[in-house]
Formats: sequence, C-alpha cells, structure tokens
Amino acid sequence: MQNGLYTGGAAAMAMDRVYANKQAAEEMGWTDVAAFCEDIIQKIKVEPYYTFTHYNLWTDLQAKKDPWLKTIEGFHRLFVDFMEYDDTRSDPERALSKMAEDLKMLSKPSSDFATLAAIPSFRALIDCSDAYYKEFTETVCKAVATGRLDTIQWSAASCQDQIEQLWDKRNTLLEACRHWYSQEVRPPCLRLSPENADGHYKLIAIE
Amino acid sequence: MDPVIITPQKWLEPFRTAYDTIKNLPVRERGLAVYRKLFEMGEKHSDITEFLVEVEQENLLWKLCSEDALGILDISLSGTDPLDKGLTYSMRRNREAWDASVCEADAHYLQDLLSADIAKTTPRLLQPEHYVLCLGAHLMVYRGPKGKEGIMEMIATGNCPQPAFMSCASNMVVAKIQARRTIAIINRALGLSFDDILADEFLRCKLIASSNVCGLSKAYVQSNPNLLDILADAFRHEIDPDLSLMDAIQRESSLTFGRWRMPDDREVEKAKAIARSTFQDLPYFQYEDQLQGSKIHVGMGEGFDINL
Repeated sequence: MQNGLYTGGAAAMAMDRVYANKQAAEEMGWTDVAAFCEDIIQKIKVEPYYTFTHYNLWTDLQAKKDPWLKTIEGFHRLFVDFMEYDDTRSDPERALSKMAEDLKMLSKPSSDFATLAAIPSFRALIDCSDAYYKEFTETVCKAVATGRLDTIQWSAASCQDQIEQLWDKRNTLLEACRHWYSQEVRPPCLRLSPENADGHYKLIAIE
Repeated sequence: MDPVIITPQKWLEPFRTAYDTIKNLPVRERGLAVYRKLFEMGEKHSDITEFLVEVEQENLLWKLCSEDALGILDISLSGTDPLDKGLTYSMRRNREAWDASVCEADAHYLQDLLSADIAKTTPRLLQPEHYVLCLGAHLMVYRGPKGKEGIMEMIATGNCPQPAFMSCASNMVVAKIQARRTIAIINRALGLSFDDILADEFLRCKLIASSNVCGLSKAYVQSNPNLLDILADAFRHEIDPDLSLMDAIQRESSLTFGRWRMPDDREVEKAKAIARSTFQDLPYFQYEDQLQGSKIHVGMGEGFDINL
C-alpha cells in the first residue's frame, strides 16, 4: 500500500471507467456529462485517492445522466399521449393533464418542447411520417401555448335515419340474425408465441 | 518479521463467500461454472503469481460478471415472445453488450451507450402497436356485444328493448366512424394499410383483445379463434365500404365464423396450465421463481445490476 501500487491500480481502473463514461457521453452529445467526467479524470490524476474519498462519484455521475434519459422518456410519452388523444379527440382534458406531466420531464438539452422537436435526434425518436410528426408538434405547441385542445363530439346523429330504419325493419332481419344466433359459441383459445422471430403464433383449444 | 505468503487458496477466500451466496440458484449456473473453474485453477497452482497470470489469461475475473449476466439474460429471453420486439429489445441489446465486453470499463462504456439507445428505441418500437390497439378497440365495439352482436342477439331472441337496441346501433355507427378515422391516421402516420397490419404476424394480433397468461408474453388467451377473421371481415366488407346498418346485419347470414364470448376465470386458469406445460422445457419456466424482482446483481462488490 505504501508504495502506491494498489492505489495506482484502483485509480487506473476507476479512470478507465470514467473515460468510458466520458466517451459514451461525447458520442451522445451529453456535453455536461462529458465535462463532469473530464473533471473527475483531472481530480484522479492529481489525487489517486479521489475515488476512495469521493463516495458518491458513481451516483453523482448517474444523476448527471438522468435528465437526458428523462427528457427522452418525456418526449416519447408526449407522442403516445398525442396518439391516444388524436385517435378520438374525445377527452382533451385527460390529454392536457398527461401532457403537462410529460412536459415537466423535459430539460436536456432544452426544456422547451418546440426546441427539442426541431432537433433531428428527437425527430428520430418518433416512428411516423413527417406530416404526422408536424401534426404532433403543432398540437403539443398549441396545448403549451393555450392550455386547450380540440374536441370531437362523437354522435350517431348523422346516421339517425339509418338507426330508425333498422329499428322499424328489424323483423325483416330475423332470418339473418337467427342464422347467426344458431351458430355455435366458439370457446376461447390459447395463442402460443413461436420459437423465433420468423415463426408464427399457434392457436390451440383450451379444453 | 516474516513476510506473509498469500497462496491461491487464501486469495480465493472472498470468492468462495460470493460463490456460497448464489450456489443454490441454478439460474446463475453460467456464473457458478466460472467460479468453479477459478477454484480448480487455485487447486492446480501453489504459486500465486502463476495462478494470477493464468486467471488473467483466461479473463476469469471478468467472466464472473459477464457469464453470469449472459446466463440470466438467455434464460429471461426464453420466456418472451420473440415477435414482441418492443419487449425483448432491451434484453437482446443488453445481451449483445455483455457478449462484446471484455472488461469492466468496456461494459460501462457499452452499457452507457445502451441505456440511451434503449431509452430511445424501445418506445419507438412500441409506437405502431399503440395505433393498432386503438383500431382494434373500435373494431371490437363495432362488432361485439355492445354493437352488431348485441343487435343481432336482440333480434334473434325477440328480447329487443328499444333503448338497448338504439344504444347498440349508435355504438356501431360511432365505432365505424372512429375506426375509419383511425385507419386513416395509421395510413398517414405509418404508411400502413389494413392489409399491411394483417400481414404483420405480431401487429395483427394487437387488433384483438387478449391477455398474457404465461411468462413474459409467451402465451395469450383470446376469445373465438376466428376473432381476427371476424374483425377483418367487418372492416373489409362493412366499415371500409361504409355499409349501412341494415346491409351490415343482412350480410351476416352468409358467414359462419361462430359467435364469441370472453374467457371466464376457469378457462384462464386452464390456459395458464396448458401454456406452462407446453413451455415447461424452456429455461425461463425452470427458473421462473429465481427471476422474480426487477434486477439481479452480478459480480463481486459493486458489480453490475442486470435489469430484467
């Protein structure tokens, strides 16, 4: 211990790990994480005992990465919330509430949704056409700016004549409906996943 | 004072303690095998330097981590649906990273890149599924007991209260409009048609309501085996051509898909038993009780957590 060999070895291993983290951060453009790693490297160079005395080193490093990961998660969530809202546009209040929570997760490299949405790496997070991506970003921007989203009032009113006709002529459908009703009620079944990604599901009876 | 001589046996003592903590967990067999190899090597050598050189040459200290992790991940993967790319992505990518790592720093580097990649890619893989689940929900309302089936049953049995009849008819109308809108969104967003969805082995199954009853999405219980055909038929011949309610119900007379009902609790339990028996030879089902929890720690000391 006194000749520093063990300390040097442990310091070198810690340095390798921080270098690895730094390189990964640089490749991902996580500038503050890379700078944090560089700072640690310099401290280890000056004081090999640094990794022994700085107990929270790895926790602190993870804390630097978390905002980047959270931002990615929040951006994804915003899209899923938009998709669910856009499907029927029947519950804008629920969508607004969920989006508000998701927006709080955005921080790196910006907390502004519009800024993030314009960054190519964030565009690449979303699997959709450019046209639909535009609808997504415009809708979220509108929600942010106005606190409101459009609603569709779903109603069968436009087909009221069809519904009334169906009721009036229900007896003429008796034969078709009886034919359907005479069919057996098929029991539920089990769907088994295949052995590999080229395979097919297999249906088997439960009984 | 005489110098302390460290023998390989003495040096290995902490490893024996680590081994003892996991030796009764067969799920860790790949890692345990590396420990045993290390101990055999210790028996073979009396000289610590020669021993450590051989340990280093075989990279055994790293393999204590990596082989353990690979074993756990392989076993976990055997309990998943290989078509479910969203579910298996993080496990498959983690496995690749462990397989490629040759030392701790290497693993940290790859795991770092991986954590960002998984955060970016997994939700992206799940996105198409979300759209199809929405479409499936509309089709089920249109065609199910709250829609077309409800109307047909009321007419066939003569038990036809007007409010319930009107409610089912309204549901059919609204679900049809919503399904048409959803497929238009899917087409605009993903460039997929209804036929494209049906051609995708995994996606098409998301059209129907089903629940996992085995492992990590290894088997699902669903109603009528023809349910997918029933929904596809309704979409192609009624929803897409915007058939009137009268015409939609009239055309039913030529179809023989059978009626459907949801599985009851007894059937779900029976399905679980059949699925378990079918897959009992897969490693996941042999070690399932040892894989409970969200993470497993591998390696000595700080080591690594394998997220399951």
